[in-house]
Amino acid sequence: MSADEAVFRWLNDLTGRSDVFDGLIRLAISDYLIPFVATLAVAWLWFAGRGEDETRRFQHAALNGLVTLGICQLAVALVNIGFGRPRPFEQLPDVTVLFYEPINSSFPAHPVATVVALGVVLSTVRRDLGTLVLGLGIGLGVGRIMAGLWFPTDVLGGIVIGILSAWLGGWALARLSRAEAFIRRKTARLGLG
Amino acid sequence: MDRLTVLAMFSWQYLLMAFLACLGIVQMAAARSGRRRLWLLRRRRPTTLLGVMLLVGGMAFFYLIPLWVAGPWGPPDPVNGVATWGTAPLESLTGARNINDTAGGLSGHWQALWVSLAWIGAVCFSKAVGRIRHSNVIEESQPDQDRRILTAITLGDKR
Repeated sequence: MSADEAVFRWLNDLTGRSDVFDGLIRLAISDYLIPFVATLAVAWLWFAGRGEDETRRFQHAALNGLVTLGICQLAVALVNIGFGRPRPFEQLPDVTVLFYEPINSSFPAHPVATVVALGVVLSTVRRDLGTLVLGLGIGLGVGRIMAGLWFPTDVLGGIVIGILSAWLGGWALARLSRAEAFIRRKTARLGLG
Repeated sequence: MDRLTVLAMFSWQYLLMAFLACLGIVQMAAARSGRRRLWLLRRRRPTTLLGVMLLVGGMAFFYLIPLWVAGPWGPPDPVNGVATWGTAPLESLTGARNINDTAGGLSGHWQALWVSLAWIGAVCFSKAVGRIRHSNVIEESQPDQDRRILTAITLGDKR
């Protein structure tokens, strides 16, 4: 048994014992909870800046989040084309599944990549908020391993892609300063800057 | 259960949650930065509180509504164990929203679309209401702006 499978088994075996615990896991790994909260945290940055300097930094980070989100989706789609991996419940016997059974590739963990990417972007301007979102992203990954949907290496792959996307997003936005200035000018004119 | 029926129902419920949550985020952010023309209320603290309530309320609405509104989260069929069309039993409420996008759940693309629309709607709504409520505010003032101006004047006096 590989280390990947051993960790998966250990975490997956924690479920199926308590209805309350399983219920909490089902809620925490929902498609509509943690990724949505991470998106809202980035959106909050647009109007939250106090003073000129902080507003500029926050809005730069919000735009960075948008660019990073696009890069992250593209990166996951490209990896999925080149590398398809069956889900644990498709490969292994006696897996407890607490979720619907997705039909796409197990690798990389797509929502984890997205949430981690946003967490990294947030941590550039608000370390507390960034750490919280990163923690939620990792929690989402662990929860979905427990629910029988991913292997630990899928989650690690998602984390790496998320971090790389955030780095690439920051790099790309630094080269798109004219576009950023244009967006900020237009939104300021609308009274939304 | 028709996929499109589930998708349509899921979409309006998600859109409503997203709108309320985005409105809450706009209120919290605007209260922090002092952008009064986006405030739905007149004072900072109630605006922040309203923001928190809208955020929590919107999400609670989305996750609790299967208790009252029938959907593909009903009690499991005794023969095949598949969820039937009905209201969600309390014991399976936390997993009621976990529906595959091939069965009418929302894919990432749909979510991105609804959140974007909800954000635009929330900002426009805040701006419209804020403009009426704070029509006497000439310029959006940052919370530390007055202090900075005051400091500058005071320093000028000292010089």
